[in-house]
Amino acid sequence: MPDLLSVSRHYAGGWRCALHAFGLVLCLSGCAAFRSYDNEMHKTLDQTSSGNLDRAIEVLESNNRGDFKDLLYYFELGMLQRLGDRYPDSQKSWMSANAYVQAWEHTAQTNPSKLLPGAASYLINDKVRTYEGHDYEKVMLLTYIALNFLAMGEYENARVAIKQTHELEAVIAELRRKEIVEVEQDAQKRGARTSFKELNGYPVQTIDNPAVNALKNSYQSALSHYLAGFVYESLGEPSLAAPGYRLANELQPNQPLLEEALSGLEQRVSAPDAGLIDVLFVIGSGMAPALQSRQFRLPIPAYGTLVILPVAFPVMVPTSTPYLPGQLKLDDEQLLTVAPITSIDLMARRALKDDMPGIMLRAAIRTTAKGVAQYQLQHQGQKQDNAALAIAALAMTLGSVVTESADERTWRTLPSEIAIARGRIPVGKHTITLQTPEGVRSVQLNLSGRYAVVDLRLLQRQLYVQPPEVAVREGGQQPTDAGVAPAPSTGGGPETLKQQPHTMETPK
Amino acid sequence: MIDLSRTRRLALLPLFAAVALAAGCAQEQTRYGDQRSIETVTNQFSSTDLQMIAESMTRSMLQSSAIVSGNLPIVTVQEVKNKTSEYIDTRAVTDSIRSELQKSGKVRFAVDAAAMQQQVEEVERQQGEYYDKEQTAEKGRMVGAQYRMEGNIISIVKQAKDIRDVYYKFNLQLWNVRNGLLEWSDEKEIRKTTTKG
Repeated sequence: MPDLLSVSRHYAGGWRCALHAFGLVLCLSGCAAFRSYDNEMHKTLDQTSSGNLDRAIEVLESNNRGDFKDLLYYFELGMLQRLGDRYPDSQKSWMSANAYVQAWEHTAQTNPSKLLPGAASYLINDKVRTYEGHDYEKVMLLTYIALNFLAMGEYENARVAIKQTHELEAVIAELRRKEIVEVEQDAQKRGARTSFKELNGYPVQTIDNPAVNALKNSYQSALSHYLAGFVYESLGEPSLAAPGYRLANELQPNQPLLEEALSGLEQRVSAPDAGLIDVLFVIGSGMAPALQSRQFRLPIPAYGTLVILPVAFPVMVPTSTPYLPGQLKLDDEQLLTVAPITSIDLMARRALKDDMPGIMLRAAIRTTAKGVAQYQLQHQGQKQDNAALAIAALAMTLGSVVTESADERTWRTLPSEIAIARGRIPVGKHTITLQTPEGVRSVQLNLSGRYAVVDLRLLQRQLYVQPPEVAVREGGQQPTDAGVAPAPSTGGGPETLKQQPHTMETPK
Repeated sequence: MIDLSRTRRLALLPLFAAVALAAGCAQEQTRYGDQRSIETVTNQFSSTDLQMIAESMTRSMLQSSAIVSGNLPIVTVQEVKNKTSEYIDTRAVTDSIRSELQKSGKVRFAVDAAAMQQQVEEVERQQGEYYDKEQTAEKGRMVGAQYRMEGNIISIVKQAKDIRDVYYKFNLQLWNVRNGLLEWSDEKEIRKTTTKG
């Protein structure tokens, strides 16, 4: 195994180029190399949890002042707008995000080598990479776009978004299959370590535990497939609904609620319209976990021995304690079972686990390159007794330390955990009650049509409700009579209606 | 830890980046292809599978005694149940079969359950005061089907490290509505195996 000294001898003369490249890329990348997304999002998430969505959006905007808005900005903005029932605005933001995803998807299919990390990633850090989104985020984007369409009563458009998720999943599956092989081969050629288990002090159990390993992959969610089943069913396409429910069952096995969706499909489709609405409640809780940059010591061979250099790696940190109620009460009489269906927290952990070999390979290359450049500067400075070179070496060392930071970017306003409940209820006004650790939450909805989706989001001090603007009847057509109205609490403590009509604050 | 020759190349990274940028400017080309050419991009259900099933089923059904000896029998298309874990639009398959049968001139089709709502709405709309009563479709004049067509598709997927095998079986049946007899049935099997290169 070559050490730093022997590398540097072969590399003599290249240090100037490396130094220039480092400086040039650092200049070009600007603030991105120093950005801490986790710190940046604290205030936005805090405002969201307090029900101040307008303020949350202001904070998000203040952190993204430039003309260029990236994928992550549109992810977060779309979710905040959705929580405020601003469906058209949310759709506009998410369509902008989807344009990025579609461009990525196209590249993945036609020229996947273009998706490889750029030079800056090897010289500075992963933060300077264009944010492409994690695979599960891309799938969840389309799922939430579909939920927005459903809220607006546009079932045919929801079907388009659902169909895009199937195509996207196929592209991701193929790309990741190839990528895993390539990273393994590349690491083998370079003799680099890609197992995070070898990283001293890395909290291995956060991304390598039975729950994370039980996931089939990081991007397929039972919610997306269940929703696909629901949309196809509502449009009278049971032959497409069946695989949706079947896949949801495969991804989240042993859930009676999910099993019933498949076993009762034919009966539901052929059932006469008895004035009942098939309502799907989607209950999201908490915020997606954060990625935080932590420094670990990576052994680099030098002078015939191992030099321990600090290298930053991302660590997954839960930021909330999500709570999912076991039941949902309808009109103080009917109890609907709430079944966990998708854990974004686990998907994010699985995504990090799958990404770690690539992250470690880039870190190893980057650390060695920086080490070589530093050694060459110091060596030349001592040899020529040149103060300028010594200062440059010091600057290079400081620059390496300052820029050595892991990429913390991840879609934070996604819920941490998602559950569903489903029931056939009569058309009209209904009071939905949820028991939470902070007290009882109630909301009144006026539902009509044959199918409806109601999205509830439980945050620490807040319950957001995304009801359908218009309900849908069979065939995807919109009836005229629909709406929603907030209702006072049915108990459990004083609750305050916030500015948004479907937002309820929890007493602190 | 890091391969020596690879590390030396780091100095050339900016050059590689410039080349990559230039390569990225290469223009894409889009052209029309043969819609009936064999598609093997992945081993999921494909346009070729749809065409193969539709052709096979149409050919077989046109030779059945119910069609040959019948006097332009009237058929209604019911659901082909998708029992796979793949999002296969079975209605697209039955639409193709129906089109081919219709083109043969040996079968007529009655409105199916999925299109019934639109049919009823149109008949009712024509009862309005804006229509000429002599030319409007009257209620109670629709013709019931003599046969109903239904079926299912199943798949068996096996995957090992470097191989993925998918087997599809499409089954179609023609039932006599009046007496409940199965007049015709046929199957089309497809096997696709992908090995990782």
